[in-house]
Amino acid sequence: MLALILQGSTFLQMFIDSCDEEGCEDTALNWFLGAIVVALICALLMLAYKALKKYTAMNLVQKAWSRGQTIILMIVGLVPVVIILATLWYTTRNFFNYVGVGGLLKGIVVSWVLYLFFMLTGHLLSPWRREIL
Amino acid sequence: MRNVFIAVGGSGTKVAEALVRLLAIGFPTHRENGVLTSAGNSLQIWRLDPDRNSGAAVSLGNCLKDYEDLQGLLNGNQPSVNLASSRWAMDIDTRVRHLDPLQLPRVTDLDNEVKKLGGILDSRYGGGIKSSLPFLAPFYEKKDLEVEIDRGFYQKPFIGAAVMAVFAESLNDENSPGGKACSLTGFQNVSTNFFLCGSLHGGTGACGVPVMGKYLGTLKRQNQSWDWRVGACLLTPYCVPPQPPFGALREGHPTTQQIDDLVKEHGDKPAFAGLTIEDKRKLVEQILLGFYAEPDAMEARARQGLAYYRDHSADYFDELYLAGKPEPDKLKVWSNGGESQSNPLNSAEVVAALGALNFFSRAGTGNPASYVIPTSTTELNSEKMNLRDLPRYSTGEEDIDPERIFLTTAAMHHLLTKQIPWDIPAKSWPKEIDRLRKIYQDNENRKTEDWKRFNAAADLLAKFLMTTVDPDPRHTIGWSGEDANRIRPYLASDANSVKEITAKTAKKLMSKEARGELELGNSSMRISTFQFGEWCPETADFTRGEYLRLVWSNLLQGVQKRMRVGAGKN
Repeated sequence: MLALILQGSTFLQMFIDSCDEEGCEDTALNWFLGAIVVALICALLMLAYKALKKYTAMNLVQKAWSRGQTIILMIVGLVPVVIILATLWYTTRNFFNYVGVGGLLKGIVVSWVLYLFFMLTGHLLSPWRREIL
Repeated sequence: MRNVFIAVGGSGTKVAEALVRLLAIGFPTHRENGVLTSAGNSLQIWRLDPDRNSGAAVSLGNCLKDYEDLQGLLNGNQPSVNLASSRWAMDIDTRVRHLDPLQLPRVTDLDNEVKKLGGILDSRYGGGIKSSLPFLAPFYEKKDLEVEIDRGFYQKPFIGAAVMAVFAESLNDENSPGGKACSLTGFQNVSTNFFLCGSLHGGTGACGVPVMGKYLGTLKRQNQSWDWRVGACLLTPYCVPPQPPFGALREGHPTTQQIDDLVKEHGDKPAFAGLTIEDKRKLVEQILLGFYAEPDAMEARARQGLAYYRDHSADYFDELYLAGKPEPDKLKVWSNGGESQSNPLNSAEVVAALGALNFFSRAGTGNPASYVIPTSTTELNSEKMNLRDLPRYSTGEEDIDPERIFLTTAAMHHLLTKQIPWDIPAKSWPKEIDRLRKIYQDNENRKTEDWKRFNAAADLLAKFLMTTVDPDPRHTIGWSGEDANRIRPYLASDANSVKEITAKTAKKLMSKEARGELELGNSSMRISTFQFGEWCPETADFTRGEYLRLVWSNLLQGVQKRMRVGAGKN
């Protein structure tokens, strides 16, 4: 349903550089969905990394995360978002041909925003909220 | 419980310093609400010595200043004036009551002006006496009566005993200088432990301990409802001074020429440093007349002293301790007293201070009607002692092993300063340190203040630990250095030391148990930071001292005795 609404709107056109051929809306939708999935996976991976670090912490100092450390973790997570999206873009013909460099950059920004949203939500819904508030 | 430590002479003063150090390090005297502690008891230090400005007194003053600072840092409230108080350790009145046996009551302004034996004893004090000199003549030579005694009694108890006896008598008068300093009326009907300490072989100690012991013991016997206890530690020769720069005359009085020649020859030596030419002449004359500590005669004097206690004095004491060394340590610098007589803290003085702690704990030693034979380990090298060689004492229900105490305090120092995430807001602390987190999370200012003060207190604790056992000749004598080397990493902040101890206090993956053991000599403990994080007083309004003592007491419970390699094989 959401996909249909998005397809019908001009929102998706923002993610493609050229839409000369039929079906480019599908490509734009796939690229957008890809950005969401990458953001979600990266957020989950970073949260899992933090949980593992805390679980395996040998002492209280290692187990206590400051706000600064948490922010650094979030920023570090932005890097794999770029790498995965760029790889996806480069290895998929339609993305490379229709999304173009402009769409890639826009996709990365959207994915970053979503990733940060997921990370913040993950912290706010867990006892870790004290580390960022 | 009130405790009074009466330091008699230089050796007694050094033992007082050792006692303050041990209390600062955490040595307990009782158990209170399940926690081993010395807090809640109080200590006054009296110093009975004609040498007001001896190096030992200066050193004790510095030590008390550090103790006051430590207690102030751990106290929640504004510290009281002249009272070093916190829930970490015993309250100590930082004013050392100086009992100068030469400050005797005067009948006239001329009485006791001249600080010579003749001047002191020829007082009119004592009820209408016009002159005591005719009575003194059969007992003392002229030179004995003329020697200045404001720097001690030169290891000649026969000089000091008469002065001490007059002084003890003057304590009955609350308006006398000694009576004012002691204020013994304040101790009436108050449970008090009086502990005297001095050398058996010296001058001030050898005569001061029995005379004061007899005085207090008699008062105690006359007022049994006061619940007083009188104990003492007698130090047998444990260190010997070097010979003076030149010897005494065999007989006769030195000539002016002899004195001038010797001043010329030796006036630049350390023993004469800071003296005026007139004082140098006096010191030369004093040495030529034989008024100095004679190392070769110490053992004989100690034997005579012991015989005196056996025959005349022991009954006045509830407990008597003896501490000494089979082979006395050799001091390097000769001194005539005063500030220049600044000897390092001797391991035997720490042993004597442990005797005081045993007495203050009221544990009782053996059967009061019999002797407890003093012992030490057969392999003891008294010149290079380790903490494991020190005697244990009892708080009534459990033995206190000094080595365990040092390990506990050193480990606590590391855990407190390196294993609490002080630099992170308390609300972000993990649940494993939940109690402390709950207290600090709404009061970040309190956390910051506590962090600052804990760090400063930890620095002082480190200083107390190291300067008590570090064989640096400026600080101590008689230690091997093995323990100091072992303790140092616990107190250090360099990355390697912190990493080494952190690895040992790290928890295992699937349990809270520590990965390694913290060790010192024959003692060890296995404590992870996660176990440490659980310890916190029940109520939120605890003081820093209270928190520290609880942590310390819990840590002590975890200390085990290790089996040494080869132990048990004969």
